[in-house]
Amino acid sequence: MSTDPWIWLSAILTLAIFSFLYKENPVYRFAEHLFTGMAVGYMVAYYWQRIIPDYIIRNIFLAHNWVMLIPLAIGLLYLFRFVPKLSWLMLIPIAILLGVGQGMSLPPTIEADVIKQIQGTMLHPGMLNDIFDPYQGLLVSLLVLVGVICTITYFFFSREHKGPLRISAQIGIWFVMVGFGASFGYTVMARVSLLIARIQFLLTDWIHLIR
Amino acid sequence: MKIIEKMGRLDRRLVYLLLTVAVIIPLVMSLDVRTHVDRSTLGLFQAIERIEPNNKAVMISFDYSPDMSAELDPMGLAVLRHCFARNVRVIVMSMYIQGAALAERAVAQAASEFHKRPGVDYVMMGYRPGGAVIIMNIGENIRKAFPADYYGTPFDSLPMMKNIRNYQDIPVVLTLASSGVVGTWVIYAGTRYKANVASGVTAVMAPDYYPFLQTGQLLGQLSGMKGAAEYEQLLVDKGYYDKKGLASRSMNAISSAHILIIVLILIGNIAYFAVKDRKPKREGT
Amino acid sequence: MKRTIPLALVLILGIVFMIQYFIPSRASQQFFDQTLQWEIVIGIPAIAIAVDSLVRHHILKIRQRKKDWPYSLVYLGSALGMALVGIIGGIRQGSLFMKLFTYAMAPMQATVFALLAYYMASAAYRSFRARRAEATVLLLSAFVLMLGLIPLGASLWKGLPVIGEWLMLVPNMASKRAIMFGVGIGMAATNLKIMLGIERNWLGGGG
Repeated sequence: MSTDPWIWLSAILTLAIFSFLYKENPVYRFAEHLFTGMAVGYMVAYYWQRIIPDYIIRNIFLAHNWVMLIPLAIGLLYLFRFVPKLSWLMLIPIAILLGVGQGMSLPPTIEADVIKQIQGTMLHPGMLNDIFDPYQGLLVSLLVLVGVICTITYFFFSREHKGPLRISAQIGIWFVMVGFGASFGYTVMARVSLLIARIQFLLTDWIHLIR
Repeated sequence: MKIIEKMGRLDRRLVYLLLTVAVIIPLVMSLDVRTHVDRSTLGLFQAIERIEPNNKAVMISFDYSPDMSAELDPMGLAVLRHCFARNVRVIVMSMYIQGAALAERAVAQAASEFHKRPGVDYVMMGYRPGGAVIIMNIGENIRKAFPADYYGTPFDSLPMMKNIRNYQDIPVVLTLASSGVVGTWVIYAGTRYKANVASGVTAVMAPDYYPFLQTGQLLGQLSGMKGAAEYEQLLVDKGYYDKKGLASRSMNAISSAHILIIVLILIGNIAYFAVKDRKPKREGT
Repeated sequence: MKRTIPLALVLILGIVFMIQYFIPSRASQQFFDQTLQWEIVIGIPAIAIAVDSLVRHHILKIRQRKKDWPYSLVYLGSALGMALVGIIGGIRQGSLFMKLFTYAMAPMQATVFALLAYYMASAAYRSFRARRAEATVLLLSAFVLMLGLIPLGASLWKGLPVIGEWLMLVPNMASKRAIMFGVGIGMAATNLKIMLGIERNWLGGGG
């Protein structure tokens, strides 16, 4: 067994959280509030030690970059949230960040999520070089094309799924089911991995059952 | 039949116990196994293999918090070891405030193993607020994104950063992510600045980014703990490191847990259909 | 005015930066670069709001002696303690702050998510039923993948990991791509709605 008090602290808090598996209890509630509180304190300390010195003290005051006092003043409008009559002023920095963010994101989002994806789905003569390649050949690319179009038609709810639309939506749902099955399989691995890491810690660092 | 019905109604605490035992036994047995390496993992590995040593730098962004560290810490460590073994410089950063501490822990461990020096072989930039804004700042001028490193050393005092201006000087940008931030890197760094982006993601998110892999918007992807285990195996096979890490040691436990869950689902289905067949059908159905 | 100014700012700035993306001139790039610097500084004071939101709820709970109010004392005490330890002692590797993060905060956070493994196993056992053909396809592809991911699956049959990888690269990729189209177009539509002032939830009660 470990003699390091920090490892013991870690193990006790880990078991306190695991106690929730039996039922909710005061030990779990204590641990839950402890780490959520610590997360807030972490954020405050980090901003105090790094963000404010780097971006405000060093970049503005030490560098005599007085133009940057303007965005600082705009950012300080957030604090008017604590003044009920003037709380609407906090919408100004929000509006600026939102407007700039929306404008900057729209063109590259369409390029990355739509245009590039359309390009990736298109068939091209190069695929004739290896028709049977299981990853990039012509047959597989046709399968992908059919899959993408049929899945899109499955999610098209503005028209009733009748006739040809019904057939393509039905094909689409098979692809969706395979996709969701894949997601489920990976989710199982993800959740189990998180558990394995905690058990590894308890058995290796705390009890020394695993060398 | 009664046994089958009972099997379909196991107490949840028994299921918890079975899962715990299924995980503990393989961990204690510690058998070494080989993992099939996916093309997506090879993509990242080969991209880092192509980088000239002691020249440009790889950027690794630890964009996750401690809840997902089980899957992503081993990835970060494996890639750092690969870079340091090949004398490839590394810029470490995070867009998650808690990721900064996780990044520092990983880089401190890897750097001590390979005797690498801060400022010369790697820089630790820490957390920077702003998300997409930071990604775009790096694309314009990295100096403006990082006025100083995590330890307060001004940017211009970091010897490694002398010739690094933006993504053109960073051959691979790897984001280790537990959220949709991969999309943010692809959209802003990859699309706007033509950076070469790769990802290491939790297994939950892995299936969602295959469209980016197919179009080449992602160079490669490490998917969950298996992705980390694959990378660790590649490091050992190529002689960059002498032993497999945490992820590889966990694969046996993942195996037994998967088998258990498959068996439980099958039992649940058998019990369901056995009971369903025995119940008398209502009139009119 | 209280709503007009913010709405006007969103519209004007949104249009300006959408157009800026397509203008590669030096002046345009300098303007963009300067805006990025401003964006970082504008966002920094928002932490005060974040901390206030998180802390005020618990202070109120203690004042009003609501149910479970002692836990709020734990919350506030740990927040204050962690903040002071970091501010006074620093946040470098080896400091008390980093030790508390590494040995207390991070393990607890990781363990909360480790609980999900148990809930996932229990939920899969209780509710994953192959009632219809589509559910059976889902189940079969999940099984093939789960076996393909593990070394044991590869020992049973070498083809399993290859088939699993193929399922990911082809049919899964096709369905996820279709979903990505929908999400991408949906995000673009939402962006436009916000810029044009059709979507106003972000205005909240402040104005």
